[in-house]
Amino acid sequence: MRNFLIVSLLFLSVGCEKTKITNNDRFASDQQEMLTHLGENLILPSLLDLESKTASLSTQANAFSSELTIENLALLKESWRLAYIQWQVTAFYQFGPALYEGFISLNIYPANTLLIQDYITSGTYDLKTAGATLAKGFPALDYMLFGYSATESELLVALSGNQNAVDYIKNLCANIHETVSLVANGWKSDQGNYVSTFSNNLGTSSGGGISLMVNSWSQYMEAHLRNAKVGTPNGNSVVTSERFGPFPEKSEAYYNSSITLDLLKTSLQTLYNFYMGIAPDGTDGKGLYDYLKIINAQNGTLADDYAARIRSAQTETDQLNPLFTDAIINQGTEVTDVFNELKALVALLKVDMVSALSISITYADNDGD
Amino acid sequence: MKMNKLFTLLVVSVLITSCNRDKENTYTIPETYQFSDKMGNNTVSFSGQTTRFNQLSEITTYMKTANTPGVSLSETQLLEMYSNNSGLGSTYFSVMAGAAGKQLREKTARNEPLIIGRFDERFKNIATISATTQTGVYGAQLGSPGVLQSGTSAYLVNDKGAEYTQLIEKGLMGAVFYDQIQNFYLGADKMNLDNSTSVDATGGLYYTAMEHSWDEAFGYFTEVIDYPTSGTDRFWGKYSNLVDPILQTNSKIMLAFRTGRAAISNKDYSTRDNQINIIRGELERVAAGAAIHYLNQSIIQFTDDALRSHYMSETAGFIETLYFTNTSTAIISGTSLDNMLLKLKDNTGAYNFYEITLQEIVALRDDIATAMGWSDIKLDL
Repeated sequence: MRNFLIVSLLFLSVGCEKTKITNNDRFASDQQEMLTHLGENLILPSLLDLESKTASLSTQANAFSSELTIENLALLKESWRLAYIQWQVTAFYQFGPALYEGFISLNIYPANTLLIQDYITSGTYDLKTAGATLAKGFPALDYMLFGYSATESELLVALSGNQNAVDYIKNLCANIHETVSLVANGWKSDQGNYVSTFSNNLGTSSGGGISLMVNSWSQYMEAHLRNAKVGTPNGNSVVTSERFGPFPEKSEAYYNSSITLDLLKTSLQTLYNFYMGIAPDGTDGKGLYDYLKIINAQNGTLADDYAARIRSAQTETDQLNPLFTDAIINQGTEVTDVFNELKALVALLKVDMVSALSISITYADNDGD
Repeated sequence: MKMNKLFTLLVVSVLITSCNRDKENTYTIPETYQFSDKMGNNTVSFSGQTTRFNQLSEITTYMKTANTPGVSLSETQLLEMYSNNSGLGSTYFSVMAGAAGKQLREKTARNEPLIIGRFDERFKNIATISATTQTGVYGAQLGSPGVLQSGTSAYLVNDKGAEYTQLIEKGLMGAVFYDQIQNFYLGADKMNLDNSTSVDATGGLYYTAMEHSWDEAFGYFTEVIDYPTSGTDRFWGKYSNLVDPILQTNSKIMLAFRTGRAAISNKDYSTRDNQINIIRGELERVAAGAAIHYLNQSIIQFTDDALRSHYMSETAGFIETLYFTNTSTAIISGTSLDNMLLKLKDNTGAYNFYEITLQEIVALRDDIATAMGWSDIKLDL
């Protein structure tokens, strides 16, 4: 045994690689606790909730297509609204199964209405191809249910003479539900069990749990929350402080803009809950906020700074007119304030937090070619 | 006790092979790619390779001007640059690139007409589609060529989303630079040349023919002797550096080139042959690793037409490169590559980055990772 020890020591002291204790090793159990809590208590329950809402959506679409009535239309619209809001709650988790099932493609807007009309006319399309991105998901349904005809009764008339269009609505809903189910199944412990893969994927390599989660979060914050929801319709430039616009037609849920602000508010509240580690049932466990405290990021100040920033983005958003398209036309400055808060959140996340967590941004390939 | 002795022996032998490789030989392996004869004359020369690097850089820069809608490219100019005016020297190049006698066209897949024809067609096609774009219009979509835009990036693509600039640049990195290393300069013919007399000592060429072959292979990997201290900005030096944090290819490739060159100068051919295998294998890892990297990027940016097309086109170029891995060491065979590329193509056999599904991209990423034995690191690339 003693000889063995000597040999081992020899090996260690003359080996090529020096062994060093990194933060990864020191905080491994904190990492695991955080990833487990987020996976089991936030991500998976949110996805299960969404799965049941998209199941209703698909059921309502079938009912509507077999009986085109005002009542069925109202039920379909309501199930679309509930699923769309719940989608916001899961939208921060675009990694793992979500990445591979194209979860984000369910909400890329504005929808390409010409492409949708082409698909309806020809009846031949594959909603899974890359080229169908702007003709599917919640934005395409927004157009079909609220923008295809001027009034509900005109919509019923238009659809009753156009089976391809009715099928299109049905296929959109089926595609949403199928995609969501695949993502949810990927996380379930009795199926893909990503919930376990995730909580055991420790370390700070780019394939590690924290890096995958923070990268997908950052990308979502930047491209979808800051730009698509706010900056793009309001005409804010990321580069300069100039404002071009507004472009109401580029806003989320444009054809039913009474829910646009709800979608944004849900998104911001989700951001807060996710960051703090607050589960849908109210359980407050270990989130990134707590983890940043544990690793003493920026001498302990970063965790609270970020939480305060999210709160001010929410406060700014509360100042807006309930109708978002109205807000960007008449309250451009106030919307710009929200945009600026989101810009600050992205900067803090991409620079300060990423560096404090010892990871790097991997979704932007800046090789310049 | 017996066990302990065996273990000690094991540890010691590991140390020798992993840390002190140069001490196994009686000659020294320099820290950089710098070699001289007994009189102190520099024997390293690969300026022709650097000239071809410059040619491909200047062609690529020219092609990218058409990423601005309204800018059209000249087919005549592109084809003249590809052959450097049939080797006579093209005035479209700067003096760093236009030297007579050096060209990319005749070096393409060792002058194989079918592959050259593929690049001729890509040059013609990019010129044709560039002429259809209109200033300020970012209007490409399935069925219409044009420029796609995402943020501050813009890419000229054909009617199926393929970006010829990437297919040409990455394609020629494979069909010229990679192929010349894998199959020409490190191949049997070039490694059986004379290794006892200077090619032309009175004319200042102090290297032997075999040493020079080795240098020319090296010159197609990097233009600097101190890689990766510098030389990480273009072609294989750049992409080795891209995958290096995961695959450690920079040091492996450089050590193999330096060791092999020292071995040749010391007529140690078994060491040289081992280095040939290492270089071939590591270059395949760079190309496969870069392909996986861009597939990962394509997955992340799947819903962004501009970025997806750009990354998928880079991927296609790197997969096409893998056809040129020397068959004696290749992990991924030509038949497997045919099957992989099918996932990127539509039923007419053309690359189609609109009709592709996310599942096909993920499957292709996983196929390459499985073949290379990288299932555990594929997300890191």
